[in-house]
Amino acid sequence: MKALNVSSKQNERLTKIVGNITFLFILALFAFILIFSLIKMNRPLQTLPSEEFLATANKQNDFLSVANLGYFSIRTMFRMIVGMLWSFLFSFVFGLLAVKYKTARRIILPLVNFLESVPLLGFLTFTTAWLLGLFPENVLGAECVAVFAVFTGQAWNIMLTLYQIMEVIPSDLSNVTEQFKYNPWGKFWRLEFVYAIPGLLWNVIISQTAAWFALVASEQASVALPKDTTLFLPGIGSYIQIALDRADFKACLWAVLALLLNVVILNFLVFQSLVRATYYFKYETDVESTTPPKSIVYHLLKNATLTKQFSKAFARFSSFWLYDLPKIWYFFKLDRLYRLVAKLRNFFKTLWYVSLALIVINCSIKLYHFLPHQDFSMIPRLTLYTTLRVTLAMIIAGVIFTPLAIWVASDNRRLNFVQPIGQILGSIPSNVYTPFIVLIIGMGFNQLQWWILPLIMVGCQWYYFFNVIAGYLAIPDDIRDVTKLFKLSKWHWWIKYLIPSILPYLITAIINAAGAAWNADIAAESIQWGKRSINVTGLGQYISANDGIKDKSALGTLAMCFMVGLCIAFIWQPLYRAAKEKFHY
Amino acid sequence: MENTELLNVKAVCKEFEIEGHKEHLKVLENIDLTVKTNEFLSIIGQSGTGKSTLLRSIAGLLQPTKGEITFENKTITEPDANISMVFQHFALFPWLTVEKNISFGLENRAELSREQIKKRVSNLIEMIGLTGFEKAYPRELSGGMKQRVGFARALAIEPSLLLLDEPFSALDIITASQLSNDLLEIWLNNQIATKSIVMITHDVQQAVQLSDRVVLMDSNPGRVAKIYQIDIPRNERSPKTIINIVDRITKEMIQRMRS
Repeated sequence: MKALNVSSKQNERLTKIVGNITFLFILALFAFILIFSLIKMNRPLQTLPSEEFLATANKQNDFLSVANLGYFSIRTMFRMIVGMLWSFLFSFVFGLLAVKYKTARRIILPLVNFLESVPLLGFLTFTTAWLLGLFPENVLGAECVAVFAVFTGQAWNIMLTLYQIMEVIPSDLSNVTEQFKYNPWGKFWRLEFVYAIPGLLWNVIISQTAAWFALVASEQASVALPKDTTLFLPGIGSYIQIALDRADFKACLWAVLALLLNVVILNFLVFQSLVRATYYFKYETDVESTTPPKSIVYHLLKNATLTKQFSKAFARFSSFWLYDLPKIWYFFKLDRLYRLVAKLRNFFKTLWYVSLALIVINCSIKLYHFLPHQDFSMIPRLTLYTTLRVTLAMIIAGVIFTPLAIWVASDNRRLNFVQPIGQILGSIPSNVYTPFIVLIIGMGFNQLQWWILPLIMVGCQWYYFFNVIAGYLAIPDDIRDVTKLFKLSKWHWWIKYLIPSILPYLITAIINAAGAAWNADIAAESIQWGKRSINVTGLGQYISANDGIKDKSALGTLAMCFMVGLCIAFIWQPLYRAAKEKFHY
Repeated sequence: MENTELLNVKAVCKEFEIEGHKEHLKVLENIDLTVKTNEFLSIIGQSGTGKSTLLRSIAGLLQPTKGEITFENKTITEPDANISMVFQHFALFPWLTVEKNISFGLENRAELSREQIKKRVSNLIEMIGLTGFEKAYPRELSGGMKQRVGFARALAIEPSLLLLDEPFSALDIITASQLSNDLLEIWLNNQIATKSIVMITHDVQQAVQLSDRVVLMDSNPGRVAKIYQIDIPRNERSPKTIINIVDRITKEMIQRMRS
């Protein structure tokens, strides 16, 4: 008995020490990534290797040497972290504006809905020029381009989720905070913010896939340094691109391995423990006896003395943030000023709408004059081809991945095993698959141009997979039991029960997948494998062929946006609304 | 014992706008009600009689369309620091531990130091029977325990008026009667600063068992139908002794439902 006591005490001390080490390790790791990258970044743009320079292998210290991957991982991870932080900030600011102000909501929601499904790659020409201009002649500008890619990969999705969550805060909890006389500031931080965290976290984890995908595709920037050239940032994405340019299959494989390792490390160290830490944040009225998810890192950190001191300091800070900070606001009587401004609401509303209308009109006139009129005639044909391809790829992806997701979700053990793998696979950018496509073309599929479909599919299939899984898991248990009792035939089971049950999720999946498919199409319509470049006629090819030529890029992107907008306004939105009203538990 | 009026509801009407309809939905019509000091008042009625709206108006969470509610001789326009409420579905913050949930209302009071808050919370935890669960999260508690936390949180700010919104209807019968007995005991023994209690319920027997007066409400729009004074002394109340009055109220309710 005594011996047991001693050993358990020793165990306790051991976990404490290990916990402290873990805490310091994670802190040091992220501090190192941030500081190290920042030091390496602040340099003139010319120090980055150019496309011509990298075209041939270098004997010493080649770009594609495997040893470089460690350093490249750090830089890529840095972009990921910074991009995520920006996404958070954006989501909170604009999500909150949309929740609190109807006038803002009317603009923000459609705009974000649109941006979510608009192909990011089409905008690269413009965003790159703008972001490079923020830090002229400096690598920081090129870094911004990559960080922006992470941002566009996840920010819209996160913001929409946040908005949806904050719209449905239980009135009971809201009543409690008001009952205890919390001011709006306190109410936001103590209720709305915390309430949103589990959903937000889940969304960040899911959309991480899209963020990695976009990041790896944009670690390069076309710039006009004396002459037009493409510069490569050190990172896994550029590594993959150069490997493709040199047709180096082995290097490709190494890079994918490094990428996967990064995804796994980030999930293991950060997300898994955050999910565990916020397990109790979920608000449920029914009693549910699920056990918390396991996380080794969380368990270690929880017992660490350093964590306890850290959380003590945090508590002190949050009490200052919650209760002392608003005093400044009231001291300067800013609340009165605010109320005065609120009285002039109608005036501001008119001003807001009028200036918006003016901006839109002004921009469209300028844009019309800017576009290359000689290309107008060929656009409808290109759009048709591309739309057909995208639609076909989406249908095939849906037909394959919806049943697959159901199959995975219907068994708990299978789900726990497959879902993380799906997440990791989903973060592999589509251009990695190029070698296989080249192989298929070699087998004689070039004529029919079928080979482009799988490339578009890898861009959009994961949205079906994850959304359908979420939808299946959201079906209430009693409904599931009812279908078991009535012994439906396979056909009826799908048509009468399953499809209607997951319809809202399925439509969300289709909307997300549509955006990703357009995006993947731009990249897929013209691919590079060594010296060989393979093209098919379409909008994507038009955009990538005119990369850097502003008016032509604008025309191609505009045509694509037009199609996306058309789909959203006349197909997806009505469908989604119907699904939400009728097929909702 | 003093017997002054603590709360006064004078000719209160409440209407809600419905989207797409020109006419407003009338929820409360001409409610007149007083709550005396040291009184336990129950409001009963079918669903749709506006009980909940009335309670939330008293809490200052809703503003009446017409009429006035005064508490300690002041008109209620916002939540009052001396009124607090217990909810049917507990309304606990899932991310806060039991003690943090209880101190939620106290932390917003500038006049209390951290030590005072701590002391008050630990006293309450002992009084309400939650010892040993200080660090537990609501998800780990049974329904009865959760509502104990709900009561402790409401009592923590030492309110002179306690509002109960069907506090026992999400619990099983035995847990409910245990909890209501415990509440009555600490209230009657003056262990808490609460002077009066207003409870909403649809359980007639429970209302009669606990209250000094029972207000029966009628629906469409919600209004006061009848007020019953329960004259049986509290220590003589049992299912057998209160059966007559419970029957009378139940019959009245059924009759009103039919017409």
